Amino acid sequence: MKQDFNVIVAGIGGQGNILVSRIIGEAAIEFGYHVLIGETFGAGQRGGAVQSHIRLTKEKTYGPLIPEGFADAVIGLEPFEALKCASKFLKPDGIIITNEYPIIPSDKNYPDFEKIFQFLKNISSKLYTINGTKIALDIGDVATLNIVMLGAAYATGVLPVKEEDIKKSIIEKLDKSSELNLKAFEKGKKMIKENKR
Amino acid sequence: MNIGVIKDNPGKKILLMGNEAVARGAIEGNCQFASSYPGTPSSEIMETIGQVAKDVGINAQWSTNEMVAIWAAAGATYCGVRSLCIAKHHGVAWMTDPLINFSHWQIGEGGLVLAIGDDPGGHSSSNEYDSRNLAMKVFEIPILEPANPQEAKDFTKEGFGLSEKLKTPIYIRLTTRVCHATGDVVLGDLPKEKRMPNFFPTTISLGMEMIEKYGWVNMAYLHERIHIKRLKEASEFSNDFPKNILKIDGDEELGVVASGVCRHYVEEALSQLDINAAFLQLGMSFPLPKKLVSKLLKSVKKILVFEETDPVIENELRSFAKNEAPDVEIFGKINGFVPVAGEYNVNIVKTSIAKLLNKKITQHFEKEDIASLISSYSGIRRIALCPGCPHRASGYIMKKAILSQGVEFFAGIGDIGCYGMMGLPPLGVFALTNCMGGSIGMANGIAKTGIKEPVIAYIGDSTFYHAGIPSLINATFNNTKFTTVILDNQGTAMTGFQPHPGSGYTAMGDKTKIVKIEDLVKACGVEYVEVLDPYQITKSIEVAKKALAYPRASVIIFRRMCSIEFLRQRRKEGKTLPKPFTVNPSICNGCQVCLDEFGCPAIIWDGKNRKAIIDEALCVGCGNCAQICEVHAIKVK
Repeated sequence: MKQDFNVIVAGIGGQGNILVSRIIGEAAIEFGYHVLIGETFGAGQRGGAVQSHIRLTKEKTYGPLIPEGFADAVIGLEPFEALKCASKFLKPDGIIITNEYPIIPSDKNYPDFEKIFQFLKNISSKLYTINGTKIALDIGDVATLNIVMLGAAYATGVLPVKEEDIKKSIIEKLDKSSELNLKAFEKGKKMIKENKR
Repeated sequence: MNIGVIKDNPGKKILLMGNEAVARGAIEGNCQFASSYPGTPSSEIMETIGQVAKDVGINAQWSTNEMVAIWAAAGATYCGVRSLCIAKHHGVAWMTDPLINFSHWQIGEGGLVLAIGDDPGGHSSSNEYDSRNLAMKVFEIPILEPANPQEAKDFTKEGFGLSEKLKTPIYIRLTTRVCHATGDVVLGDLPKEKRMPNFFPTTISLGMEMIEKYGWVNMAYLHERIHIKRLKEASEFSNDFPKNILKIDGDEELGVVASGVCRHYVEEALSQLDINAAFLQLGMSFPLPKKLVSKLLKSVKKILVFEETDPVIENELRSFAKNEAPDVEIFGKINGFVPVAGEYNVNIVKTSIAKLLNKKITQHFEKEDIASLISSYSGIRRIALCPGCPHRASGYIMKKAILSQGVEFFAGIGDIGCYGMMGLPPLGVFALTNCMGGSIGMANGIAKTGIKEPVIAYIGDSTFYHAGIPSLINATFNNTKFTTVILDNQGTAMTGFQPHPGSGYTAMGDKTKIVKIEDLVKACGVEYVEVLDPYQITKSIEVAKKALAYPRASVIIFRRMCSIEFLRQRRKEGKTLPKPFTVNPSICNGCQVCLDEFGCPAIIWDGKNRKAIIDEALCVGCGNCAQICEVHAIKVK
């Protein structure tokens, strides 16, 4: 079995990062890991910053939050949230997979877009980005963004889980919309390949 | 729904959220009745039980409030069945009088477990008070503190047996980091047989016994037996509780004591620091396991305590150590050595231990330019009502109606729910909130002071059923003039849209009679009641004006389903979603009414072109902005 593995899904409330964390968690149990997933919340249910911390351990269970500087990977559903998360939690040699589409507050108070990506690059040379929101909108429902990004993260080979276990979990959890979401997973998987920065 | 919770597959490892694990623990523990009022972080316990209740033989209910919930749960124990009552820490305050009496007078033959979600840091609460203070000092009942989903399940299951043995409610003290942690849980056996209910309370016979002996009920005796019997027995149990663990070699200078999720933080911090310290883990924190504590006190020179959020264990430990080992130095919240408030984490624990041992640690540092950029934009994700939220329209309507009265000031009072955000800019329709029901409650006094400004109380649908009704009757009873605005989004939205008495279905999904809010309001003696659709903005403003002008208590009910739930249901049913709206830039005059007065997060200001634009990834197609746009620049896409 692989080593202990810490990954964070960072986004905005309502983007579905908790679902992604559960899918990864269930697939990791099949792989023999102990799993503990925690959440950090910003202000409010929707629109605030949300992170799901996923801890996969071989022997003992630790607390649900990953200590600063201990994440092996960051999956960003929103670029500035990915930057905030990676800066605080990512290990020096960690990997970042992020959506490029920003959620900009009404007053347009948002950091310079190019600067975000430049800083992400400064944090890690292993940076992958795609416009996951556009892919999700093209598929037909913006709510599939989380699964697009899951597909992208999976395609980098960093997640210590099997594709069949992820797909099984998507079908179980998403019921009627699972077909659309499996499409999203495949699309994310395919799109990331040409997108290492 | 997580069907894993009903799997009859002992030994199988599945992924459960802490709250789901409590539900599984209740099922394994042969619980037959469960009651709750929704409250984050513990809402999903009843959601889970409700969904599987019929499969596992539990009678489950969302109660109208926590006081009713505890009465119902304890009531079931008098019929000999095991019972679970669930609430967040605020809810425990509502249970206080019933629980003190259940504690002093004894529950029935069935075990009673309380699963309580405290919220250190107050992520989704109006304060972070530590409810263990009530459990320990006021109810005087044993407290178990699970650290993870596995223990949440196991402790809940064990709680029923312990409750029956000690004839007392058992307090399972959860925190947000346990309730909302999701982890692998090994399933246990499911019970084979349900108990037959049999109403047999001992209360009257106990009273008669005392009357024969003393001429009247001896309340001091009832209290005394808690101390000489229950807590003594509980103390013995605590010594042997398998999750009260002392790791000690005998040569350590430092001993660390921790409960709940802090146990994990200590474990991780100790392994990162690579130091040798004795470690007392408390799965059961009250009463303290005196034998283990004695052993620790005899061995170490210094003790450091980690618990959230009050020094409950630390206080007990200090008073115990005063006699047992006066030379041992104790460090914690009381001497200000560790943070006195808020959540803990690995970093806080690690830093505190290192400080005590004068040990240097390596910290993770963020790159300076990146950290500086992040900190200058740290406040951008401001708390806001969701796109399409009916409360935004209701707040806009009320503000327009109030300001049309020619007043500059008004006394607006809010309550507990998503609509708390109506008090924030740009709506800003109230300036005061307290706890569940506090809006109408405080309006009763504010309106009687003789102030000239209009007095308006805002309360949610579920909150009105929970705690609004007595205060509204009070207003009629005392001839008090103010306007109550009931924000009916047809469910208990903030906690995840659980049903309430106006929903027409129960926690178990059974159809039930709808108790209409407008009928209740009328029955409270209010003469002026109007039910409005907040999506009809212009019409509603006119009606709201009349309500404000009414000479006695008046009530407006804004009824429209939560936009999140509306979309969730559409998606679930495979129906199409409403189309997003868009701004026609050639018509938009840049007045910013949609931004400055309405404030939907889907509307963005394009400063370069001085136009509003709509983010189609956020817009849910409610069309309210099209109604308020003065130049009609907004149309469906």
